Amino acid sequence: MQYTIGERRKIKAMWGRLFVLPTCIVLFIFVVYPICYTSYLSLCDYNFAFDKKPTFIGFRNFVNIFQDKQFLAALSNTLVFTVFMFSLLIILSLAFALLLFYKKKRSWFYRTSIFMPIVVPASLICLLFTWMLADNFGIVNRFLMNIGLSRYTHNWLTDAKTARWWVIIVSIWGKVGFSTILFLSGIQRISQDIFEAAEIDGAVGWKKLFYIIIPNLSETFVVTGIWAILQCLKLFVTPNVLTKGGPGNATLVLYQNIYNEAFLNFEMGYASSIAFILTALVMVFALLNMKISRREN
Amino acid sequence: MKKVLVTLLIVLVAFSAVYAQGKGEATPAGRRTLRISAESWQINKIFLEQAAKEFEAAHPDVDVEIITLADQTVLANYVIDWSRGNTETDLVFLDGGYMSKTYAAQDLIYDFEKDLNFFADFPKSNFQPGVLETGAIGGAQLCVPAIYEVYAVSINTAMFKEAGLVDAQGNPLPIKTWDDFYNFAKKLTKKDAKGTVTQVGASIQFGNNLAGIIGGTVIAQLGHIATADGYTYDFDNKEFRHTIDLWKKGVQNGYISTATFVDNAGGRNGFKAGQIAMCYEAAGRWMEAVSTLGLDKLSLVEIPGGQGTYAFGCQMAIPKASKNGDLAAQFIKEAVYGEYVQTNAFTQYGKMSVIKKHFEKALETTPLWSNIADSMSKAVAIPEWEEQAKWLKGLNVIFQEGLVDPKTSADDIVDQMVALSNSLKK
Amino acid sequence: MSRKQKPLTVVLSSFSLLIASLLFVLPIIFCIFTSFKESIEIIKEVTFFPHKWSLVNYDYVFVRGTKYLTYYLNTIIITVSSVTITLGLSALAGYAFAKLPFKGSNALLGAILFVLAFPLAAILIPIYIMEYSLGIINTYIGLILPNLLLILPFSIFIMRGTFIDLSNELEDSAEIDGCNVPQTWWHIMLPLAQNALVVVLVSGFYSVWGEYTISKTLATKDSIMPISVALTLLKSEDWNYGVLAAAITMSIIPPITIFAIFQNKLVEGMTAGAVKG
Repeated sequence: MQYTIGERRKIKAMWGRLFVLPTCIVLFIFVVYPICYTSYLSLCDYNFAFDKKPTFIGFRNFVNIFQDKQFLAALSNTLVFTVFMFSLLIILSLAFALLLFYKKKRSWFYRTSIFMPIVVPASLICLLFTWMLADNFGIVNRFLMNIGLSRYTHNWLTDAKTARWWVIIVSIWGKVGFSTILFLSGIQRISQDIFEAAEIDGAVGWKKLFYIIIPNLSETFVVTGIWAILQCLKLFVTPNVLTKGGPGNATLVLYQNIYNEAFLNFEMGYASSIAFILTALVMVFALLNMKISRREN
Repeated sequence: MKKVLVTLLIVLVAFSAVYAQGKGEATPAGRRTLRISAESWQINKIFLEQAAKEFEAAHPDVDVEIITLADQTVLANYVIDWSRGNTETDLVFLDGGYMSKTYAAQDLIYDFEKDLNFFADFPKSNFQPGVLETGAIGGAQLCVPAIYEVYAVSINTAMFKEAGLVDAQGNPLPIKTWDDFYNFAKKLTKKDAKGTVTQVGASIQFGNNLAGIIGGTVIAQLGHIATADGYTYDFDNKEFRHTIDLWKKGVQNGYISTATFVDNAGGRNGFKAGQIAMCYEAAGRWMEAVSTLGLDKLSLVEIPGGQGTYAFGCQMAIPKASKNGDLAAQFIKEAVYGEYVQTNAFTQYGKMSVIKKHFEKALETTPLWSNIADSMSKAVAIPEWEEQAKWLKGLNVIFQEGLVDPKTSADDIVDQMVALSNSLKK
Repeated sequence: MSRKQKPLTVVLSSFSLLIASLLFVLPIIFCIFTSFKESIEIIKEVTFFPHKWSLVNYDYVFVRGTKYLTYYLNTIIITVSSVTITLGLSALAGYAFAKLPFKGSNALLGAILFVLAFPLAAILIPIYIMEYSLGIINTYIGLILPNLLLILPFSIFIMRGTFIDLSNELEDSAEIDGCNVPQTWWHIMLPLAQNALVVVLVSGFYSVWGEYTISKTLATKDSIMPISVALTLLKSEDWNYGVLAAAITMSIIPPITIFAIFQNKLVEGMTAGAVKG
């Protein structure tokens, strides 16, 4: 049967709606009520434990947020962590993927070891790191003392500056395996013809990297980019378990701020408003990432 | 391959739907089930499983079910359950009374005295002095403690001897004031040739327990905690400011450890590892160090000031939504307050017995406690505020930033504390 | 593949890869060794290799955690269900967003992006209240649904991205051959998107397997707890680090074994698909 273009479009549209229907049922029916209720709460003052009902206060939550020392600390920490973590994640995983791509022998061992931290439950291994980095009985400091470098021992987790670096390092340790695999598969999917054609044209070494590999990875960059942004902006387990946001507010991140306000202070209204700010941040960065990656193509 | 996935999907969804009914347990007619919720460590250290078995043996028509809570934040869910009149538990254990004020504010738990007539056949005189107050909220006995603890300073006597801080009989010198504490910490801190600290003089809980630490310091100094309103801590005075100044100097010079900034167990772990000489926190911690240090190297002293100490308990509450309130009360009286639990929790884990006769009996086996007997008799509970979580977190930030910042003085720290205290709802 | 590589490059890259791999594996190896040490060695002596090998930690884990099989089973059921459902739904929805335009599809996509960006912790209590009213707290379906919220949006973006890059001519030729839309999807598009499906599988698995915050709130009975939550029950008042190490070691053995065995297939799967040109 031959359809007209208009009819074809209508049929496709119908199928389109049908295909997204199950997703809509699952996602929206389950999430529409909570998110709507949370949106309403973000405009209210509501302490879950002590208030009987939410009191509407308009946008005052948002005004208070920007005067709250904790929120501002969380915001700046989240942004700083994101900048460093994102760059390191992308650069390191790309580097690892390239190294793994060119190393054919024994790649099994290297791939498994880089991927291993992913399967370790983050909340538990961070506890172990807390102990390893402890001032007096942590193995890192003990090791430094044993090999005579005791002047480099440091209170790693209780000094604000080093605590931040360790949060970044431990987070990257636990996540880079995944993005490495993404990049590796992206590189391996570049067809051999392209490589050979480029070699004939005289591209070798670093030129190969920039003119062939990276442009052909644009789709991988989009996916990995979004994944990395989500991981960085919504970072929670590492700062929460490793340093509990401390010392002081040095490693407090936005997701933690929301969690603390909601589950420890029971200020649901306030927590909801912070949640919307975080959502807005993520959406902005994600859209930026998509635009940049697509433009590079 | 696809067919396998599809079949798997259908099987799993069906399976989940069936299991969606949850694992229902129906109580057979004539039997009653008593459900108890507690965290894993509480079940362990308060011997709840043995207590349950004893209770079941004494009451053949009752089953006791113990529900383990993953952590404290799960207790917030009970607010939702109980306000709708449902409950999955009949007796809940609250460490330090966490959430008890919230439950009380929404009228979700029984008043042991007025609603359950608890003390009719179990008089208050059975209890250690001061412990029942730890569970009282606004004057009403809404919780009763299962065990209680006080704050004191655990010390490593071998390190004291090494530093020459002993008297003529070889006993460690008493720590009467915070100046003593500071000077001892200074002498007890060892640095190697390059200036790296290899042994720290002292540790103070600068983490989650900071409110209790400050409370204990104030009580030891003044003999009471609150000002006339019953809620505000009475710390705005010269002596307290001097103490904070000493703490600050201690931290900056490396005599007092900062390990507790991010790890609550940092101090006691260091103490157990033989790295820290004095440990100002819950008094029971010295018992945990027996296996690593040996009983002969341990001692216990009162908080400098000697006017008392901070007492807190693991509280028990019974939800009004429970239909087995009477059974739960019975369980408390017979099992939790029975000899087995009360004596063993004390002798094995340092969780002090709340029942006078068991306390005195257990004291015979661990005489070290008599070192702080005087301050224990003057133990006081700290007031629990509505915005307690903000108070705790705020204190953490003030201290963790202020103690290490050279530009912040002790006076600044105390001023910030006063400002914070005034801004919170009590 | 014939490629001339300078020996220096080979040595440097091998060396850096070796160092990197060792650094990555070091904490885990330390963890495994620690699980065989006794408390005194862990706290006082602080060694790397156990001086005295002991099974006391595993004893503790197994004696107190006789329900291990149940916890593992729970995690497996929840993870496999969530990932399978996500595979199906995201493949459908991803294709629809890529190739089957309908009015409002962009708005819908925006809404899905919103769910992707939203921190779930903020709606955890409303979700708890909702599940409570429906009576699905402490059930598998009660744990699977929020996990779907976690992984479905991202998976849809991945699938959409892959489908978008597939040329439209494939569709047109399928139509000429007489396929309708679902048939095109099943027989032609899906096989070409195999690599994306594997990515969804791995990323979904990795997100749901270790998920802690949501499961902790929605699974209060330990008969339904997944292993990520159940392991925290081993915590005494403070963590006994030997027991912690044993718990971690036990929880990573199945996933690592699976990855080690299926590694080649996995990477193959991720790199399969049409030759890009």
